[in-house]
Amino acid sequence: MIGFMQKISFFVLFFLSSMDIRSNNALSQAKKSIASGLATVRLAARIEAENLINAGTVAEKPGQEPYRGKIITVKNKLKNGTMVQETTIQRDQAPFELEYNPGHPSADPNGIVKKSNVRREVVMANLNQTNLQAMALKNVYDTLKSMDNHSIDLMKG
Amino acid sequence: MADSSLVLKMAQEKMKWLSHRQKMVAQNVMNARTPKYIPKDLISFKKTMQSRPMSVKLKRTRGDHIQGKVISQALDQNYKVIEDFRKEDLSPSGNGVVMEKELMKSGEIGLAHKQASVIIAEYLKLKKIAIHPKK
Repeated sequence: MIGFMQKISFFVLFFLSSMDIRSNNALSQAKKSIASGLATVRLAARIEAENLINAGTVAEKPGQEPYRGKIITVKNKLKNGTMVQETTIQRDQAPFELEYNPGHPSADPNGIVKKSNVRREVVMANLNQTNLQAMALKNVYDTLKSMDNHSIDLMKG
Repeated sequence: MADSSLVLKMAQEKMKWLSHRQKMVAQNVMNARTPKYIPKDLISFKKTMQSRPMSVKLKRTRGDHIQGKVISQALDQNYKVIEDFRKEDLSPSGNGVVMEKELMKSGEIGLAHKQASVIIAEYLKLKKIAIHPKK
């Protein structure tokens, strides 16, 4: 009888090994994509936070540039068959905000002070979207995990 | 029980297809803010099964030979990818991902995967009964 059961378990193992462990390849690729997406989202949130704390700052001395906002750009790349994201950080080329404030130590001879080109409302909107995307990625990751668990439950018999 | 192996194979193919579809969803969500990204999806499971190549048949040298059952081959992960978007969903940056749609798809895929795995588990149970009824 033990031989019988062994045969059955061999059959089950063979069946499972031919079936789902290989197909998990797609699942693990999906997980890598999700991880890459989350890394991008985290970086984007950090950049937006940097922009936010530097919004409205002025240059230290007259003639110097104030803080230029940072922009994150994303490029898709195939790495071992998995789509991952490659990020680069660039500087916002938008013109600086000018304010007439002749008494300011950073003011130029015409009394104009250059302020950072970061716009708070844009940063907040971006942050909100980043947050939503992180939540969505988490949601998809949870589904991936449950799909893995279904396969493991099959192995338990 | 005659067709149980066919049902098992079908469920197995479905699980594979769902894994690949979930990969597409993951990529779409990852690129939810990438400019000019068009979301992708797989063609439906039904169409995938219809379009896959059939395996080699047994050669019949006489008309009264048994015609072996044709079991189609595994797809070998060549799933057809389509672009799944509507023009009115395109954002100003040219991105076509609709997050709600992707999350709905993700949920559906999870449920269908569970369903397929339950079918496999039940059929395996039946096989065990057939092999060893007392257990």
